Amino acid sequence: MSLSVQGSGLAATTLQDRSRLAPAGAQGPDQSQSQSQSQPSVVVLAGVDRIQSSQAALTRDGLVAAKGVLDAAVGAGRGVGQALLDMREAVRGALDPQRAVGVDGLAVAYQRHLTAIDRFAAQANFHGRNLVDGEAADPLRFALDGAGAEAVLEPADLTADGATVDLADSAVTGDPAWDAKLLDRIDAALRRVSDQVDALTAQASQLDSHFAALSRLGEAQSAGESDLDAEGAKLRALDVRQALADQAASIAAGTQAVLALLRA
Amino acid sequence: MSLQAYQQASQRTEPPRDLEYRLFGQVTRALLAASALDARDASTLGERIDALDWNRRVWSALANECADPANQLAAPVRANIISLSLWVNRHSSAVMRGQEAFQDLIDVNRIMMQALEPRAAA
Repeated sequence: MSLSVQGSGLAATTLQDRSRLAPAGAQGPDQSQSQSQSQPSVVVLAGVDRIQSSQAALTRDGLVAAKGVLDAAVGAGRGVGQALLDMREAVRGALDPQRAVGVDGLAVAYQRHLTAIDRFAAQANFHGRNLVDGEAADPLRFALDGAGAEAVLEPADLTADGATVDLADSAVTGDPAWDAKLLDRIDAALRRVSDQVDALTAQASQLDSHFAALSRLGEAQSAGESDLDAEGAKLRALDVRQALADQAASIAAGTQAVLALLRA
Repeated sequence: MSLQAYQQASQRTEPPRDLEYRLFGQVTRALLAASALDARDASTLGERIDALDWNRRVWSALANECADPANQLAAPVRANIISLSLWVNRHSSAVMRGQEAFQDLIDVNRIMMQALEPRAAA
């Protein structure tokens, strides 16, 4: 017995090209709305209380698309944070009178990490949507049903010249006074990036909650657990493996009985 | 249809369970490849995201199938698969945050492959 209703439905859905095609649930930004790039982002789930179990598949698709965009943004935010930490080390090196590397070398390393920030922001492009490259000043909307329910994700500019990082014009100079101020700017940028990643993570958590609520629509899902940890997940997978093996054995036994009748 | 024609047609059409096994194999290989990438390298971000998204969509499609009243799996199995889909969804985000590893996703997929592998149905 296969896992899907029509057998090949699952495979047809997901064996297709997995390159970054625009998903059905993604829609363009709403030009009528805008928000400050430095404002903490908060997900909006509009009309989700009206969603019926019959529309759960569409809703799940929309949520998956939104989660993909958020995960890409969070992954980029993590990379930007790491780049800022590396930049901080370069500046601290320049301020250290006992430094083993010359200021010129540290300045080059600093610029390399600064460039990496923009690369991380650009790489967060997911299905043509990017929350953190500074291009999406308007919220990104993901349809959750055919009647207007949607998830609305707020952007957060994480580019080097965006309001969150704001270090595009910075450089290591070897001047202690200047570099000390630069260190303060980097620390402030780190705090802002951390706040933005927290806000993006909060949006993802809200979507997770809705996933769990969605799983409670309909009879089969009522027994589904939404708080498994990794070990619990492996145990559930083992249960599924055993159940499928039992069913396969049962089907095989039935087939043998039919064959025996035909031979008789 | 003659027995011979039926056998030939059966050989040409891949059973659904085999398709699902093949799908899990492909997505698990993508996760394995993504897990080996350096998260500090910005150029790897896209591949890591794509692998996690593909796996999430596989599990979401499974959850959709198991939510369908016409699905013939027993209710506890369907509930388990839906629970796993929820876990995959959360765990994938945690991987992108750097709080969890790919390995747990790979382990669960491998168990599913064991459940679906052709010899298990014999």
